[in-house]
Amino acid sequence: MESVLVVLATLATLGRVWLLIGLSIVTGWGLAFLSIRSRAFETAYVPLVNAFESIPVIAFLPIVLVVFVTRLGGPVGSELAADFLVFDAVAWNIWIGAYQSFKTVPEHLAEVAENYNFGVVRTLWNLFIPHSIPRITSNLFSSFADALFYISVSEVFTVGLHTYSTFGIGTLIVQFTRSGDTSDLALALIAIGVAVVLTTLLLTRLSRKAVARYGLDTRGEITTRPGPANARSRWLRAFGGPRRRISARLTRTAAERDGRVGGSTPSRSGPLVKWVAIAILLGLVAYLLYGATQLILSVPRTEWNSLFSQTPFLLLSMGADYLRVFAVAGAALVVSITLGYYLATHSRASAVVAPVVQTVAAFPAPTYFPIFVGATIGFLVTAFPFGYVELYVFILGFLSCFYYVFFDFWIGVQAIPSEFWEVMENHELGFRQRMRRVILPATFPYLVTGLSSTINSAWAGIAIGEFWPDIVGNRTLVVKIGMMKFIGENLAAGNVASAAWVSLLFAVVVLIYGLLFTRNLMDLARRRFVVEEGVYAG
Amino acid sequence: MPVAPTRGPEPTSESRDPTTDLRNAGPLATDSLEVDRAAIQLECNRLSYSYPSIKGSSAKPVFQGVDVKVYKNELVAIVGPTGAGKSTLLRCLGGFIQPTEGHVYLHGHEVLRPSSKIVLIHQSIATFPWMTALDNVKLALTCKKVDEAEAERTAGEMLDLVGLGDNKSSYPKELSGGMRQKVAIARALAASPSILLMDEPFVHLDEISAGELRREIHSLVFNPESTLDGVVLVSHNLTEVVELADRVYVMSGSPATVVDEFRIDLPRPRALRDSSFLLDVDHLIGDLSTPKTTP
Repeated sequence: MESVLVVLATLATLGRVWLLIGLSIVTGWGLAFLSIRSRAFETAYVPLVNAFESIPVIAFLPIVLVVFVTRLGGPVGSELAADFLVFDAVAWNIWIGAYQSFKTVPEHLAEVAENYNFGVVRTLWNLFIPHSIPRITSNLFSSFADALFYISVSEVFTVGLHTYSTFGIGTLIVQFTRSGDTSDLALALIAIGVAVVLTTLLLTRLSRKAVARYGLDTRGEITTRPGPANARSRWLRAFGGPRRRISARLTRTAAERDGRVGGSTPSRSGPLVKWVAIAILLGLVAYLLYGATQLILSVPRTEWNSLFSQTPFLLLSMGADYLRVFAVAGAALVVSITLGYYLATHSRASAVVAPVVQTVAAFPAPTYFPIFVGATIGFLVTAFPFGYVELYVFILGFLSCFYYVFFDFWIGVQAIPSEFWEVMENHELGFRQRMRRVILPATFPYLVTGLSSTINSAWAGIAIGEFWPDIVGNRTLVVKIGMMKFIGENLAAGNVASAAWVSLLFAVVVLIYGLLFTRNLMDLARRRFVVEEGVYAG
Repeated sequence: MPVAPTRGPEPTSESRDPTTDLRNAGPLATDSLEVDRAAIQLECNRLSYSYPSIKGSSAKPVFQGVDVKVYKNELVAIVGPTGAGKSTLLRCLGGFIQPTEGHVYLHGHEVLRPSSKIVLIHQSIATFPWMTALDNVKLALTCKKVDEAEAERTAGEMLDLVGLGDNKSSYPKELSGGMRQKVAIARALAASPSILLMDEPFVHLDEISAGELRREIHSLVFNPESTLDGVVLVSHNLTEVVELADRVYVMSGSPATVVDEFRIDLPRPRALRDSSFLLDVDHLIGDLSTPKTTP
């Protein structure tokens, strides 16, 4: 009977994830089209999406609780809360992908559309949407993985004495874990494993077909040469997403500057599209203001005083979390560079390892992490009595983020032109010289993007790992100090206001961090480290 | 079966007179060295290459039974239609890819892997965008463990030699295509190679830049201070080939073979409108237009 329940729950979760991915794609197309047609909309939309993408899903939990659970309540509230969190995990990535591909529609194709008076619907249907399909398809890998990562958090959560849940495999896993039902837990994990493998295979085929049918970028194939240094596995070709994503990020500014992109064509805004864009923009702003006002008004004044007095401690806790995140990201970077370089230069190894890594990446770490903790805690408590919790948080953080920088770096290595490999071979550069002078500079934009995604995802793992009640039996995994621990504990105690306050502080810090760190590094990558500029074909 | 060398047009009396060469040549051209046909520098015997089979299909032969010799101070050109495997042959000569059959020898030693003794200059000009012109050239000295000051001096000299002395701190994107190709040439020369392989080096340049670079290239690579023993040029621009080469291998057919070996005995610098020059170009056009069978 449980097996039927597990299958149904897996299907429910998959259905939820795919439905929300579909919704993200459709809305992504609409918003991307509005943003390339209205400069005002674009000016507000792009930074907003970038900002929201960089905020970990978990930070939205307090807002979800206020808006869906306390206001709506009941099964509908719980379902919408879960949907919102999954949507938040998948939407930004897809929206950015749609925008970037709309923005980089080749000028000559845009001119054809204008020339033959395609109109809005036909232009969208015949040009922009087909052009976006390869990029969106390849973005689905990470979107699907992100969505599954949060199933144990989004489908079930506890606030104070109340546990809110909706039907899905995430809820069942939490139930089985808490009740110590290991056989059903194993069954649930197998069900997820099957779903992950099948979905990965499906996405691989889909991505390959999408690239073959809709892809314009054939450069990778042209520069392929025999030999191990640039050997590309068939599997890898389907994963051009990060490469296209990064080259789009790099070319975007140049394209915008030169007015070479479809969005900059003279027919930028028809009056109807323009007003629709402005109306949606105003609607979004009004909604955000309303949400913020509601949130602020729902907190009593005495509570505000208490929140302000806690702020220095919260900032300190945030600092501790940033240290954890940087430690995890640093480790991920070192492993990725070593393993990524090895795989990129050893085609046989990559043909085996790459699909395995991709499948493991899509398998949500929080679902199997309690089993890992159960198996190792006895040993680790003895071996590291004062540091075992930190070690677990580090491992969960690493498992949740390693893949991003790994895949980005790996694809960056693959994107190095064959001419550069030949120059390195010709001048007999050793490993260290290759890394220092060519590989790291050439993959710098990929590393920046990968590191940015890695840091975002590291937050996810750390958020879950810092405070995990009853992870094994009655044992709770909890760190000494940490912002995510603060959020988790306060939610568990029913103190939504405190959790919301620290989430807000965190969002502000993330935005500042994004502006100061990620953006500057990305600008540097655009200015100095565009590998495509190194091969001149006048 | 070895290819019987065919003679090119009889050299004119003017071309045999070294003083005429000196009178006509520019400042660098006067330093060019004579071809020594007694000394083979690079040689390949019965070289064949096939693309590996994919998904059960049989291997696709690109060229077969190719013999190439490069004598001291000689610039050898390889011409042929698209798909004849010229660039692949060049990479076999450099050790970048291993031939399916046959061997390549440099000074009698088999070439098994790429090294800085045989340097390749790419068709799509390869300069590292994050390095200045000087750093790009210095890269060639990295593997030789030359100390920093010495590397800087040598790299600077090479840039001076190719006429980019004032652009040492420029990044590639601040340079024109011709200048970037000169950086690549300076980098190649800095490695002190024995053989230079040039894969359509002027194809991406505008006609003016390509013309200037062509006029300079022979004197640049064959001057008394150069360590170069020979150059192999792949090109499908027949005028360029007649302007630069001492000897030409013509490849054709599928799989490609060497269908003609043709010596160009015109004086340097070569006058592009000279009748003997045009006769040589016509000879090559004839070679490539007439379907030939393997000799």
